[in-house]
Amino acid sequence: MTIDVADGFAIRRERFQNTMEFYAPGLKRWETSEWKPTNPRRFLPVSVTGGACALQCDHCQAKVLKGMISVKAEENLYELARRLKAGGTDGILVSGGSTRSGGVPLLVHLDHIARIREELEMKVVVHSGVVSPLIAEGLAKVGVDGVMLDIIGADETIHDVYHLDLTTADFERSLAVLAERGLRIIPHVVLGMHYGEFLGEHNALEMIARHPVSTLIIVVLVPLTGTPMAHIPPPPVDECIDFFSEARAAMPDTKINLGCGRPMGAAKTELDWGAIDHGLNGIAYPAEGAIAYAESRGLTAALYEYCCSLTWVGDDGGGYQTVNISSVADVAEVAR
Amino acid sequence: MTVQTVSGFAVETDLAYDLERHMWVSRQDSGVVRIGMDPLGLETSGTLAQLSFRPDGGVTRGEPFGSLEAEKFVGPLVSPLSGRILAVNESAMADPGLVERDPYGQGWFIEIAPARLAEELAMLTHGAEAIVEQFGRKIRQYRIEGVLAE
Repeated sequence: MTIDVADGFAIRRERFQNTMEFYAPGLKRWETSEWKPTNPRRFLPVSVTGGACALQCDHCQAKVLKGMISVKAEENLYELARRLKAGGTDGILVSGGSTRSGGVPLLVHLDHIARIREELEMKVVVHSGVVSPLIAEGLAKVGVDGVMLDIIGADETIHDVYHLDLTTADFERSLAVLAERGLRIIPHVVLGMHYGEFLGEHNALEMIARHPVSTLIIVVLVPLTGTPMAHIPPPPVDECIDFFSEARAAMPDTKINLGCGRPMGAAKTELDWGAIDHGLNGIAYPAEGAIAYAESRGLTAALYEYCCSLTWVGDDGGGYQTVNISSVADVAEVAR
Repeated sequence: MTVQTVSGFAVETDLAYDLERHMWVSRQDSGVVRIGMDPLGLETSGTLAQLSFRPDGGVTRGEPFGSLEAEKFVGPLVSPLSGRILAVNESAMADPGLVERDPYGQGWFIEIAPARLAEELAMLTHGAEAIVEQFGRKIRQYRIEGVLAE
C-alpha cells in the first residue's frame, strides 16, 4: 500500500484533536531554544537488576542500564522511590536487565510498586519484556500505570539479535495476556533492530494492531558504542518515515508517538519533521525547531514533562494528574 | 600536567574549573584562554553526536558559546568566562568523538581573549585540593540523584 504524506497528516487531523504533543521526561539533561523543562527529574528510569542483564543482546549488552538508577543492595524499590520523590520525581519507569527467558524480573518488586503508587502517589510504568500469565496477573493485581514492551515481528531477530529461544508468537501472547488483565499496554517497535535492516517491523505492527493498546511508541535503532552493532548504520530515514505512515494508517485511532530512542543530529531532525508530516501524535525530546515546524503546519504544540508513554495524563499544570480521556471513538467524533 | 583520579575520573588539577557547567579553563602562554569540557560533564553526557559553536564574537560568563547534542545531554554549552572568541575547534565539530577521546588536549572547545580574567577566575575552582574535593562532592551528588550510575 502506498501512502503519501497528506494521508497520514489527514488521518491525524480527522481522528485527533489539533494538538501535537511533545515530551521531555527526565531521562537525560535536555533543552532547546524552544523549550527548557522546569523539572528534569520529574520522571526517571530505575533498574531492578542494576547493570546486570542475562541476555546480552547484540544491540545493547546492558549499556542502556548504565543510564538508569539502580536499586541499591541496602534499599528496596519503595525506599528508592521515596528518595526520588523527595528530590522532585513524580513518576518512574521500572526497568532492568532481562532474564534468559526474555522478561524483566519484576515479581519480587510488585508489592513495592503498589505502595509507590498508593502511598507516594507516583506514576509507575514498567518494562516487562516477554510477559507470562503470572506476571500479568501480578501487575494487574498491584496496579501499574502502564506496561511497556518491545514487540519483535521476526523470529530471526528474536534469535540472532536477542539470543532468545522464543518466536513472534510469544510476543503476541504477551500482548494478549496483558490485554486480558485490562492492563494499559504501551508497545514499542524498534525500527532497524535486525542489524540496521527492516525485517519484522511490519509484522510487529500487524501484531500490535490486533490488540487494544494505549499508545504505540516507535523508536529507531541507535547503534551503541561497545556493542556488536556499534558500527552498523541506523536504518534509512526515508524507510523510517514510510513506516510512520504505515503505522498511522494501520492504527488510525491509536496514539502513536516517536519515542526518545532515535539517532541524533541531522537524522533526528528529518525523523521529527517526518513524524509531524505523517501524522504521529507526539515526539519525545523534539529536535531544535520541531515545535515551530509543527505550528507552521497548523498544529498546536502541547508540552509535557513526562514520558511519551503516559498519553492519558492531564496537562492542567499538575503534570501527572490523571484526566478522564474519552474513548477513541468519542475523540474521533469530537474531531469531526 | 598533573592528573589525579577522583572516584574513577582522571582530573587535571592544574587547571581551573566551573563545575556547575562542567568546563575547564586553561591559560595559554599567549594570554589566550582555552575552554573545554571536564570528564564528569563528558560522562554525564554520554556519546557526543553534534557540536556547534557561535562564530567569533563576544561571550559572557553564564551565557552559551555553543551547543551540544549527546546521548544523555542536549543543550547549551555555557561559558565560564567573559571575553572575545578567537577560535573554535573545528576538528571537534567535525568529529565530536575527539572530545571524548582527548578532553583536555585536542578535544578543546574554544579559545577566548578574556575580558575579566582575574575577577572571573576567582569564581572558579582551582588548586589541587579544592578541585579534588569539589569533584568528589559533585560525583557523590550525581550518584545520589541518579545522574551517574551508582
